[in-house]
Amino acid sequence: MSENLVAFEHQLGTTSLSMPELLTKEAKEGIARQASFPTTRDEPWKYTRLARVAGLTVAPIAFKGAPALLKGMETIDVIFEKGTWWCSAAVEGLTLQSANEISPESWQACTTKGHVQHLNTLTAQGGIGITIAAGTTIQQPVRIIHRCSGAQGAMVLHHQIKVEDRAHVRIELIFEGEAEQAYSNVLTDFFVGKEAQVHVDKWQNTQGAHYGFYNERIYQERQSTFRMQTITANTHFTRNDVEVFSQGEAAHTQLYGAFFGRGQQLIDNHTYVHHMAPHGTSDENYKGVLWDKATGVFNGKVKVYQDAQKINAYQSNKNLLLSSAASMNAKPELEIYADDVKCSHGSTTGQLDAQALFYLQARGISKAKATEMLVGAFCAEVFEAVHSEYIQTAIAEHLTL
Amino acid sequence: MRLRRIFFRVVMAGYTENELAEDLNQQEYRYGFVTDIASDVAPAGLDEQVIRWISEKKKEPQWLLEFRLKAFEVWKSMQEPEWAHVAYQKPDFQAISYYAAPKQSKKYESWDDVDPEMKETMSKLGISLEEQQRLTGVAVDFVMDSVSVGTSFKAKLAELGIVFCSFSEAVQEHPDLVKKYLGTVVPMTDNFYAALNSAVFSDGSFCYIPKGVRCPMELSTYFRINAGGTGQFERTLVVADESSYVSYLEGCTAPQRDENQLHAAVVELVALDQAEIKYSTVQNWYPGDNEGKGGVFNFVTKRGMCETQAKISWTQVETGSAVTWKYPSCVLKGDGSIGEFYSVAVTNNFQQADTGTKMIHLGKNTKSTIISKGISAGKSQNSYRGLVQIHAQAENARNFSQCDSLLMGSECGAHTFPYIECKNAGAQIEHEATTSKIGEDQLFYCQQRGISEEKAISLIVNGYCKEVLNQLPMEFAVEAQKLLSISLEGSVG
Repeated sequence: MSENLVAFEHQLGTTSLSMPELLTKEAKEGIARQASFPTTRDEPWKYTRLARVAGLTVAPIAFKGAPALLKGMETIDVIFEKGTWWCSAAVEGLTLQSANEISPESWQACTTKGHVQHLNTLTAQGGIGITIAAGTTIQQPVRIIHRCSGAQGAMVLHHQIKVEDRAHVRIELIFEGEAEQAYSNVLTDFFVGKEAQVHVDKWQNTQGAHYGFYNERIYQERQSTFRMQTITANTHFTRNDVEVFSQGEAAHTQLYGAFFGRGQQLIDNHTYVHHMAPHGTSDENYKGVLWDKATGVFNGKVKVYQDAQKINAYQSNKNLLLSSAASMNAKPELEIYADDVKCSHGSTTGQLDAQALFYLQARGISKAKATEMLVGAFCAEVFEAVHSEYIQTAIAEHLTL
Repeated sequence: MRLRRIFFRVVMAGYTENELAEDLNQQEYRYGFVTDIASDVAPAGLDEQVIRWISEKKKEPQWLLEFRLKAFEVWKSMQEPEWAHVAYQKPDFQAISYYAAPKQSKKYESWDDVDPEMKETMSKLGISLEEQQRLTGVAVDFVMDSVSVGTSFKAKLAELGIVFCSFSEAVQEHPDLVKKYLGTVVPMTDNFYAALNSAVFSDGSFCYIPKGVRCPMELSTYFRINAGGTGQFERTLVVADESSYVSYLEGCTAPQRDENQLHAAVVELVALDQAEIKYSTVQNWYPGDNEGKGGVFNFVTKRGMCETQAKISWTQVETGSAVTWKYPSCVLKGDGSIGEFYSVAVTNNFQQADTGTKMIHLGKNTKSTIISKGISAGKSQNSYRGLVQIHAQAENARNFSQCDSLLMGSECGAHTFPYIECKNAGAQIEHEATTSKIGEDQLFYCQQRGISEEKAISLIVNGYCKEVLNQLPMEFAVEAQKLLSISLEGSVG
């Protein structure tokens, strides 16, 4: 056992964010205690080997100073690319600030756990802080685009998005780029105020040997709605951790996802919904399609706290294996401490319906095209929930063989 | 089938929740008696000496002693597992006595030789051998503390070539069979408690069904921990040779004590080509009192190996034990083999259960079914933990899993931890789980038709478990049903 985690942290340098001492200390202790990357003996990484990540040689990409101004766009864009970043001007009700300027007190609200988040706390090199004022509805979508390209870059970012009471906003998180070898670690905190509505579309499409770790932490207040669609395609190695703290009464959470693995790709989706207050609802729906030697992982956990009565939680995970060497590991978990709840989950793994395939082929549609159509139909529920036109187009392109 | 259904209705109609509650306030754990029989107890603690002592006491051959000592070495290097969703004070392995046998453990020539007090114990358990022999045709092997005390119907079984005897007897009389299969399904290195059991197991049951024989009666074993300060480590080995069939039942009870007693058993099933084994358990170890004091720690390793077109079916009704840690599993090694798991696990008061199954699909065209029903009441925690693993070479494998949890009371917990691992694109896996309380609409429907709330709840719970109870042999099903009501006493309404 080497201390490869500590060495990896040194590679990434020191954060440019003003993190409160408490968090930094906690993260430092966490890394020191762990010393090396988790192995498959550690439950959260049971199906995901990190040996390749531990061996990466990377240099941090810093996003310092003020962003260049973007003009004349229909969307509000924030772009991180090769050490420079751009940002649209603020509009009424929406403020944008560099994460470097966020005060230590504002970061205080979150607790970090796991080596990915600890690394982020210690080494983040930028990020965006977005605040939507109470009661405002932002018409244009807010796009945060990450382009990690070139060789050996490490993009470690920490975003904070505050949606105040009764505000509405639509956000697109886009991860693209073509890198020979890269490491990303992007942590996004969402604070969803009372009766606020947040819709997030997340698109991950990175070329090359890109090791991506994406964490979203969502804190929901009373009667708020948070919806997120995570679509992953064409990524060498992706690990998504979505953790929702449904703290206020009658909050609604929707987590949808679709992932497409080819070659030797690995896509690992972890979700964790904490139902901490009564009358909450959550709805999860993840679809996986795997070709070649790709590996998929889905681990969804729903925890209902003792005082959180009248919870209605649903979780579904369906997977298609389209090649004999592909593999899928699913672990839908329920941990329930309240009695007046309705929680259920379902998980299936199988292949395309041979009859449906035959029906299409009998009508002169090639097998490849028929497969494409059926895969599209299989994921339709998730695709329909995506509002972003940009992502819709990208999905269509990706799925056309 | 028809007979069973009628019988259920009679039981239910005659036994309402209220009557039950009254019955039980006086009665509590009805198996909580201690039989006053002088017993031969090994001094507390575990070292090589103790293992040699046990082995010598049982006049075991050298190979078995070596097996034990090797297991002891393995055990010493192992850590007690902590991954289960249970919290308990770990047993002090040096404070347990690893062997306790009723004093007159010499061979009984006939039934009349048996100590009357022992017979009394058995009749209290409702398994009076004489009666059973005459009326039900069930062959019973009764294991009290560590030693098997009586096996009935032996002669009749022998005619068919079936071997059904205590484990120590099998070691003496059928050493080849025991040697051939012992540790093949659950190797001593498997886990902490399996290693411990391999080192110190005292007795248990052995069963061998020859080729092509269909065992004409249900074989049954009752386990009972009697002496205080002892642990029970029995070992069961069932071998069904090609194209044979056997149905095997197992029941467990223990006296009421303030201390936690350890029960670490190993059950190995071997189903050779086209054989079928049906293994049913009604587990009712002492669960501890209302404050969670005392009770049995039930840490059991059960596994079956299925060869080509063989079938193993596990059915369990788990109502007892303070802490349960048990995963009856099937290794579907042969092509076309079938594994089944039906389980009802009830926890009340401070009980904790972490139970489920593993279905390992290795062969082609293998099938497995998992039906798990959990009921938690009081302040208990009930978890289902299961693994469905489809290996790359297991073409065309099929699995269906369903785990439902029912919550009664606001202080209990119900958890589901299924692991689904698929490495073959030809497999079809379905898993579904639900957690809820008894539906208000269901209750309303019953009450509206004049059925009292208590009766309605009992009706719904029984209906909820029916899929599993239907798998049990008749006598067991009735017992299980009663146990179910007893275990849930005072938790509804």
